[in-house]
Amino acid sequence: MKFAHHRFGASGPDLTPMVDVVFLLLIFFLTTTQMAQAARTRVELPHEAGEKSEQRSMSALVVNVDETGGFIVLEDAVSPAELTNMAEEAAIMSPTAIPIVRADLRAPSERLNQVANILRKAGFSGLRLATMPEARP
Amino acid sequence: MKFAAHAAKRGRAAAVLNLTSMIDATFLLLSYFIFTTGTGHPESELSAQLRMQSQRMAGTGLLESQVVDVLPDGPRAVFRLGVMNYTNQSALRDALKGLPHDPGLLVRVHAGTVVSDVAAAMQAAGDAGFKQVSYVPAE
Repeated sequence: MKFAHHRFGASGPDLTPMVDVVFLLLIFFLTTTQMAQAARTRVELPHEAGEKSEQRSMSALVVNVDETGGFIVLEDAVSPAELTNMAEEAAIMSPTAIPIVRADLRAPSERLNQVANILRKAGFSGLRLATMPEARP
Repeated sequence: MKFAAHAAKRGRAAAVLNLTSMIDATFLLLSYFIFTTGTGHPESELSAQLRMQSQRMAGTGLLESQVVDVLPDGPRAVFRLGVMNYTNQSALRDALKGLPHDPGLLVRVHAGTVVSDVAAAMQAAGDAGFKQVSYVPAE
């Protein structure tokens, strides 16, 4: 049999494309994770330091309350009835999760109370009120 | 010693490190950090349990002094603790420090206030050392 001439230094598969793909996947997941966090509804949060927690867990439900008191979930304005349905579904899927409420600092507290009542009736035991430790420039 | 010459004589290829993937990864990391540095605004949180006013009345045995009422008072809010009214967060925090922390604290939110007032009360409770803060919408 006649084998191909085997030269020293050319043996083994070329790992360059695999390394490229691995890094691309890594960058992709890192970026998309950050984008998911950054893709938040723009509300001016209360300027409070918040709690000194070591880790922040993701939430099954993030409810935004804008300056006028409107409810926004996943960039869409929702009615109280729709928010109730979403909260009930989220409570079934993640009963131990604690929803995050991102409310504008000027939003009327009646709307915050309404969100709290909806979440409690849906089965959540608590809420996390988002704050901004430092005022934005 | 003449290693190079010796290797060349035997037909060995010179060992060359392929830098392509490293340059790719470096540029990708650079673009990633440039992108995320501009968009990241770290947020914080204030946690609270959810309760109804009737649940509180039914009784966890809390004294009325363990309830902070966030009430409207003209353009601003006032924090009522027992019979005392506090108009700023630091005064409320100092007053809360003197209370027992084990029973927890209820923050009862009344209509006519805004979210920043609620956050101020919850922050004062946390700063005063309360681990269990409950959010109670006023009925």
